[in-house]
Amino acid sequence: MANGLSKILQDRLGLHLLEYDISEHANSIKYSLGGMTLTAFTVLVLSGILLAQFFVPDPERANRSVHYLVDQVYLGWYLRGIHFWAAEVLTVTMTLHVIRVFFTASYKNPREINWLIGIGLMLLMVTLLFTGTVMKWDQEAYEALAHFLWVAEQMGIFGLPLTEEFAQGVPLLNRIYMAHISLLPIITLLMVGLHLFYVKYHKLSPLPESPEKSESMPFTRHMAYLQRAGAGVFLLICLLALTIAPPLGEEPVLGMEVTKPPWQFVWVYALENLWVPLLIVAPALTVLFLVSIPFVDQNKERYWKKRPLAMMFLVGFILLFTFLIIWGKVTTMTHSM
Amino acid sequence: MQPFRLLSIIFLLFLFPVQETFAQGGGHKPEEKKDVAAMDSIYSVKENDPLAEPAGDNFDNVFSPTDLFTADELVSPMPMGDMKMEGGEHAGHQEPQIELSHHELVSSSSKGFGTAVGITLFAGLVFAGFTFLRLGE
Repeated sequence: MANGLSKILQDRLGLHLLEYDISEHANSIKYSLGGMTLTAFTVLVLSGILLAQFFVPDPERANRSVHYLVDQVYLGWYLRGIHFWAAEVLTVTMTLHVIRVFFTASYKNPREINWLIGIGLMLLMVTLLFTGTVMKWDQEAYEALAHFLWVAEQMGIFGLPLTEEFAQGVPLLNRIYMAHISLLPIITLLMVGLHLFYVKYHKLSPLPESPEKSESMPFTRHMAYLQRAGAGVFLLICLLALTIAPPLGEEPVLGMEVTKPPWQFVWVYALENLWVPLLIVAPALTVLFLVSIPFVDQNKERYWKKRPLAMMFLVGFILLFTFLIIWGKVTTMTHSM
Repeated sequence: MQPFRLLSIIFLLFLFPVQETFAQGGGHKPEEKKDVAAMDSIYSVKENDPLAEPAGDNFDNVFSPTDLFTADELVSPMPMGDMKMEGGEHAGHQEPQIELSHHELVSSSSKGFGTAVGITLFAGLVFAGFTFLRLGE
């Protein structure tokens, strides 16, 4: 009877379409990092919908509404913790995913466009992280926004839509809230759909060391593996939310700079400390570098041992960012803009 | 395959004692905030705040006093030239004190802590179930 019901559902829902073949190496952690990132994003969306019920996107009340959620609402602290830690886990899995794609040269012909879509998704995640940081409207949030507005000012006419002058009479926090809960997630979901479509269209990239040896399996087996990986990611998020509360300060004191940005942004802080314009130049150069990779690296070789220059870049990039993050965490701001 | 199984065992070992750990965890309990502002209704208007706008303000006054773009000195250009840097020479006593926020250990007295432990435990059991049964794999 169960089999009969299963067949009826498969016929009605077209589930047999998920039985297409993919390479067996998909069922490994390194080839499931994208799926884990998607799990974290799903947790972010669901917890974000719940958080939005308690958030007041008004500069005068935003910070108090978050404090109210954490202190007074049943499980509010846990909900906020889950949202915060899902973003942290997403940052890690997404970064590891990008490193894996680079390491296995999966960005090469014919997957260049999907690499660019992936970079776009990474930028969207960074923007979501930034807008989320601002929304709690404490000192860290105020200073993050102050830096952002300074950058927007430097961009002249191109930065105008990002300033309060673009929509006078509307608090910027409201617009940031709108971007965080609707504009950015909608664009992200569309791009995730496109990213997945091209993964299917070009098929999973072969193992660089043995492209011909890979066995195939039905995609549903990979879905089952991702289900398990997703459950692990969710468990990790729950454990972190249960034990460590995310930072939350009081309402900001305007005109002060005393905090440091979250670790995901602190590398820019370290560079800004050297030379203020690096606040604009460094992220732009990083994005340009990432975008240019598939077009500059035309070598057909995919195995890492035969790509010494690419590996040097990868290791150098990781070491540089690790150093900047640690330096940004321990250093003290010395400049005055 | 093996890393998942190992992870699930580690998580399970971690999960079961967690409730007891936190029930005893008075030593880690962060100082409980009895901030009046936080206890107040978030929908109340600060009536005694001279900066607060009265109810029913007109459209010219839609900016909040705590908003970045209220006053002329905000944003154009950004007033970072006047910002005082952490540990700077001018960090004098006349500046307002800002308490920096940090990660804190969750207190077991947080509202719904037991339920949160239950949800986490359930998530752990689901992961363990998937790991040992390997449904569909």
